[in-house]
Amino acid sequence: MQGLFTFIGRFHPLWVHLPIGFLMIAVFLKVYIVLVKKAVLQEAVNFCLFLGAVSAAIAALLGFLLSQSGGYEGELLDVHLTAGWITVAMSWTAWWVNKNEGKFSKKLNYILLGVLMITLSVAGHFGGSLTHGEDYLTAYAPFGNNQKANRQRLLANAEEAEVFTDVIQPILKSKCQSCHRAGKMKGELDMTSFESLMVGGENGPVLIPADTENSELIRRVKLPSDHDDFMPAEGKKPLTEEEIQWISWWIEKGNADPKVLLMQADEELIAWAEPRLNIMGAEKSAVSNIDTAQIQGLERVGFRVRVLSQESAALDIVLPAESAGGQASELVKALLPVKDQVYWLTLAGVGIQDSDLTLISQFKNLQRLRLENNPITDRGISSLKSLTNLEVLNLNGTKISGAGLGPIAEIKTLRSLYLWNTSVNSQEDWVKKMSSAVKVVFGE
Amino acid sequence: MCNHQDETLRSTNRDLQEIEKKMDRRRFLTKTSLGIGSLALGSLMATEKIFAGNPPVPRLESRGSQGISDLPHFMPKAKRIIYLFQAGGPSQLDLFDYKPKLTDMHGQELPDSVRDGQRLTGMSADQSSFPMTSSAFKFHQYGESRAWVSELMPHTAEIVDELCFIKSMQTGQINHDPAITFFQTGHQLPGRPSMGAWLSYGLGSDNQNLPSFIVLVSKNAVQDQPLYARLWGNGFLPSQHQGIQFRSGKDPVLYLGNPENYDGNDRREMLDYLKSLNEVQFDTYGDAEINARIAQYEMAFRMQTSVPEVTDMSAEPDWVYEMYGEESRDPGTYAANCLLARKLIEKDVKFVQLYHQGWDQHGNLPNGIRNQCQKTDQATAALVKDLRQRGLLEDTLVVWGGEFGRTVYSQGTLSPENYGRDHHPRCFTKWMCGAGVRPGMTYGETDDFGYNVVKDPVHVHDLQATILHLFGIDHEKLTYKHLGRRFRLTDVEGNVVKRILT
Repeated sequence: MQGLFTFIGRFHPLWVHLPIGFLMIAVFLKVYIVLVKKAVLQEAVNFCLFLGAVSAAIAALLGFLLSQSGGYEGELLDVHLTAGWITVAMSWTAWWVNKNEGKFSKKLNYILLGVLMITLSVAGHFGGSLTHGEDYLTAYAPFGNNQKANRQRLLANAEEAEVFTDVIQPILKSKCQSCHRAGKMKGELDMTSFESLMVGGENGPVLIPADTENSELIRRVKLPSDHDDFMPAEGKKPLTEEEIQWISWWIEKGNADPKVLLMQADEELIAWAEPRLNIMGAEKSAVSNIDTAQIQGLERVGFRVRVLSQESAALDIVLPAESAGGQASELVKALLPVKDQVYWLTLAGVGIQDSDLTLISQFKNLQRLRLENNPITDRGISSLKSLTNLEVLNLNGTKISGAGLGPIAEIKTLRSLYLWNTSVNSQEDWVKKMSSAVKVVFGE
Repeated sequence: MCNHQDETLRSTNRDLQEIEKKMDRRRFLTKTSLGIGSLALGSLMATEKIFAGNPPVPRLESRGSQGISDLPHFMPKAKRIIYLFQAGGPSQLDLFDYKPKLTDMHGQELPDSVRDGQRLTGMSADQSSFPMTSSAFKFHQYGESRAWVSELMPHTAEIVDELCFIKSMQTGQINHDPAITFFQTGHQLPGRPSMGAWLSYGLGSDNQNLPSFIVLVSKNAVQDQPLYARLWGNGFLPSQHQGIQFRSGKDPVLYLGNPENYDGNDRREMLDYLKSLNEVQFDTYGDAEINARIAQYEMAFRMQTSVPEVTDMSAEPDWVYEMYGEESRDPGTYAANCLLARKLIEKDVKFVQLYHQGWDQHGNLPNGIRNQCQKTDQATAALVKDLRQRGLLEDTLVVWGGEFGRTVYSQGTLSPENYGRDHHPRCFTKWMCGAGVRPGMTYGETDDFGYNVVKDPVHVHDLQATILHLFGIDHEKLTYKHLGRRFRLTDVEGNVVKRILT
């Protein structure tokens, strides 16, 4: 018998749309009658309200059966249930009042219909929240802080990310928690917190630390999708291969420890998870867009501009010697608007002066800088030490001396330094002091 | 030609205008009488992307130098590539893949279990005996990486710490032309675009005054096996992406010079008018090849000054010629081409492809290969050293190798001082160096017979995928729709060899 009730009860989500439609069309018709004075349509209002009242009663009954079948509980359900019954009562009242229109004041009728709309909306809203989750409606709302609140917590860097909080939780949130959460508790399982996850559901614990083989959660998500026990159920979006790998890793290697760090995981898993973290500052560089007009402007004055990566809007900019025409100092100023986007910069043999290097030292994302064959000296080069992302620096044929290497050595990211055709030679103490991580090339 | 030229008969609907451009009344009637069925099917299936229309042909202006707008897919390591193609199939067993055990087995029959029924070429299949042949040359280890190099390549031995040897290359082709075609286009049959054309199509040009794909063929090689221009062809890609061959002599590019008694003063005016005529054609038919033609005329015009400039070697000091070898003073030799390649790379040409033929030593291998190495070894090493000191190796990839390897057994009779080797696709050695490639590394292993790969095989498509990867391209995403399907360089295969990357 219970099974039959559950079966019937599950028609509730389908059926509820009927009373919503009937009752709303009745109210709209009423508004139309009042505004356009078409009294003949009153009969239709009565008819719609009657249909609405009957279907609302059936919907409420189905809903009651569904709530008895388990899997739903808590405050949300109570509110929905109450709002539902009130809507049924209100719709019958509204039908009665409209049918005997003459006996009641018009004002009372209008108030009644207004309240009906409100209870209908309240019941509908909480019903939706029960099915899809409380934050379903507002998760992507453009107002307020909802968007931020729904995003992952902000991290200073990837090193401090924790596997459970920053990787597993977001997966569970998007794939599992619409059913397995406080208030809905399908299978008596609540996956919203570490503690409740470890408690498990009606069939016992869902995961056993260091034992993926016997962890029900892993077994369920790995089943063929047409299997009865497959999760997520009812055609909801299944977990991806990487998501399953991550959860398995956390249970097996991470011992289901909530504090295990992301960086302890396998390289490939980290590579998948890292871009999904909400790391401070990372967002800023990723959103800078490529401004085509700006690029064309640079190309018109003689630069060659190449996009290195669409994602970070990184640019490779070359000033060919033939375009420089002795105006390099002037031209380089044109790069200021895109200075954070310049990752590779070639200013070889264009007549760059020491004074121009202070400008270039503001290009904080520079990774590769070619300055060969320019009349630049130690004085100008020292300002490059503020380029904290610089990896390759080409100073071939410049007037740098050994002493000029001091500031360069401060650049921690540097890995290649070219000093061919300079007065520096490999035997100088300055060179020997350079970090061994830097490849210093002098030529053959 | 008809109504589409008549403004009053043209539709005001923009979509229809596009169709009118491509199909006038006469064409429409011809096509529909045969093709109405397929037309209907096409529209029925239009929701399936595979049947959807061709990608829109971009106007030349919007194209710029940027290639396809969503490339590169990720941050590249390489900006340019020099591919030193050693055509003919250099013997890995006599150059890099040292097999000490062969010394003891020299002259013994190759065990059937090693050959494992592999089909041989027609040239050695009829041999009654397959005597294993150790190299006539001595091997030594060099550099910090302790890489093995034979005495034939003393100069390459000096740069081993810059190189990444791949000893486990494999190909599916056993004859020259299909094997080279496979390496250059990803398919053994002619007709696909070459790697340089793909890169030009995908990434555009970094120097508007020179083609992005330039080919140099050594004049001082034994030209026993032909090379065809289609090896640097554009296949089905728009034809401005094909490789341009620079020749030795006074005309590096054919037909680029002005004819006798013409000073070229009104060339610009002529080209502008020609361009406007071509644009009318493009507006009418929307054919990408019209844009290609306009681009090629413009490129040729700029090349009239840029090519003599870049091929002018007079500014190179003597020490450069000493470094690349005295032959580098003679334009068109391998050594001179290496030097020219460096100059082109300095000008940001994206793809410089060298070909040096004559590695096909079926017989008389010791003499033949010694001769080959004398002509190439010094210049190859000099090119790498030169790029390195100029800082260009940071973003220039250099690849050295042939289309397949050579057999461990001797083709023809094995005599004390002479032997030959047949084509061998199952294993051979290539090296790469520069941009993003791990220096001083040896990847992959072959068995003690030098016959089969025992560890980390690298197929032709894997190498291609890796090269594209270094340029920031996901080889599965760089596609071009042709004949109703999407094509890519690596066909349906290819895995990036991540372990050789920095």
